[in-house]
Amino acid sequence: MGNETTPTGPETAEQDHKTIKETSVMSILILFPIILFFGSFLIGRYPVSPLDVVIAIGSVFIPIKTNLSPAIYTIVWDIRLPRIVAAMIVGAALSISGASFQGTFQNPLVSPDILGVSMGAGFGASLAILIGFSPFGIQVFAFSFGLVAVGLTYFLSRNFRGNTILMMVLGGIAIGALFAAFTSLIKYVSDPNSKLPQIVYWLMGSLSSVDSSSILMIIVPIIIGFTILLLLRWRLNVLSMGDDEARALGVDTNKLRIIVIVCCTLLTAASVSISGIIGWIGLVIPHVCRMIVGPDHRRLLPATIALGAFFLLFVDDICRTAFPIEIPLGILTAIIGAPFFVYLLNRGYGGWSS
Amino acid sequence: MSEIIKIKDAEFSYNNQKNIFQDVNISIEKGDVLCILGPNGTGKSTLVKCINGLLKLKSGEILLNEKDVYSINKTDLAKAIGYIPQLHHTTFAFSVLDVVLMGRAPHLSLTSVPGKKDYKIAEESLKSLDILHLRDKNYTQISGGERQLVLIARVLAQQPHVLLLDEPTSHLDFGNQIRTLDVINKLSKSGLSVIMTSHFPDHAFLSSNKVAIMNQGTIMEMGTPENVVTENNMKKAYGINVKILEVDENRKACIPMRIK
Repeated sequence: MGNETTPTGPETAEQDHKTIKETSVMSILILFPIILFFGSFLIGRYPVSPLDVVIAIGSVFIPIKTNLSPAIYTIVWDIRLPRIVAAMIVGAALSISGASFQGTFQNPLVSPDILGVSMGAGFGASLAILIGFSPFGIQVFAFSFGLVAVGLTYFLSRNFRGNTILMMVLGGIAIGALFAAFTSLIKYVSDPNSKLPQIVYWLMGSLSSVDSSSILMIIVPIIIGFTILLLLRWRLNVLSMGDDEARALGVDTNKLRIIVIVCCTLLTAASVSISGIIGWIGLVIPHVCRMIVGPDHRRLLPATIALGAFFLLFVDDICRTAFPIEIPLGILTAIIGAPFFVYLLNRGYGGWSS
Repeated sequence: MSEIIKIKDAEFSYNNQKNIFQDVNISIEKGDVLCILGPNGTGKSTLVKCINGLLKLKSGEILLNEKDVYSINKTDLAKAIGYIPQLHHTTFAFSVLDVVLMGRAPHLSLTSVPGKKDYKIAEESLKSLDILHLRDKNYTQISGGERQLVLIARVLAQQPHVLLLDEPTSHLDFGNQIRTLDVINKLSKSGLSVIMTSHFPDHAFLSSNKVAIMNQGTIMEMGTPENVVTENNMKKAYGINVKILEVDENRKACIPMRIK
């Protein structure tokens, strides 16, 4: 009897070893984006020294006298900081949404735009550009139509009989196709010399027009989305086992799924509204994270935030510096991400059951 | 005796089509093991899913400690009734411990994560089934027999009073079938009431004190295994000839005969 409560030696050692391993993997995952965050201030057409960056940032918090040129302030605070923050927010938001959707729909092929959010946002942005709205108007339209598209998908699927998950995904495909067609229609009628390139460029995804006001606009939906998803991290495990089982374990699956859909839609629509359509990252980062930390959402969700932020910032740094003209972000995420993903797949992947 | 589960005049159909079953009346007491037999498609699994509220009866009642199961909130129902589905397919490669921990879901609030106490309960349920060594294994990579035990461990971590098992022995090898029945016997001795469906009439002799035969949408016969698993009833339910043999004083066996 006495033996039952005291675990044997090797077992605890093994456990400790496991915990240490998990903690160090997590610390590395979190350290990477932090280092890149500071490093990214140094990259760009206009050279800024590390010391200048420290002074430019520090002098706002500590009242010290500096003889730094105002140009450096502008570059650090008004140009690079918003762009770096935006890249990290968008990368993290798309990745955590992808992971949550894959768990909720129990499907490895799902990405954050499966319910039509990106197509809806793309249509909204195109429409706003066609009408001639300001960047602020474009962002509002993109965000709103992203929500509208998912709302339509959801209410459509409720009227179908049968497997709700399947119906929702199929409904999303239909709504997405519909909005894609509307977007094409707008492209077709828009002025090929001014409006059309602007629409096309928006749809390819870019952070070049981001400023601090666009970030401020999305901060509320972003915070709501992240907070709620992180709070639900363990429930997502139960939900990802399938509906019948989750319900037998007392989980209100319909309610939980709606909460997850609302959060992911807020995150994705907000991201897309400032960045344009950036595919791929929301599908792949969750897989890569599952390879690193396993399928448990308690570790998976924080990992997707860290790695998603790192990856998109990394790609955006390349976008704005590697070539004489800026490459659209959506193109580079795929060009860099796809071969890397294939490489990982090649190494063997136990994150999904066979 | 106190009835834990009482099913009264239960009737079910999908979307108001033809009834799957009707006039089903069953009562279960503490420590009972009820084995539901019957040919494919008679609604055994459907009935089991109605008991824990996954499906809703068309008419009739299912009472848990004299309360209608549909009026009990889902969390409380999951604290009282545990369920192991028939075919289990999981997309994600969770560790065995993580799967067992999920049994704690009804005891935790929407936003909380399992704490020390929950880990202890999960590990104890693994230990009680002698599978603690599987703890860190990948759930998708263990054998079918081990998986069945892990699911039983999960249901134990749930700490219910009633256990529903849908064909717990169907996908197991010969030895694991009997070992699973033994686990079920032990659980019922510890006070759990068990309702299971089975395709093996012989298993009724090994594990249960009550048998119900479902056939053509209703309960054809119910009672002790000795009274219900008879040559005559098996012929009626399955359309084949069987011999009931007395192997020794406490073991009867149901042996199917060749179709001539």
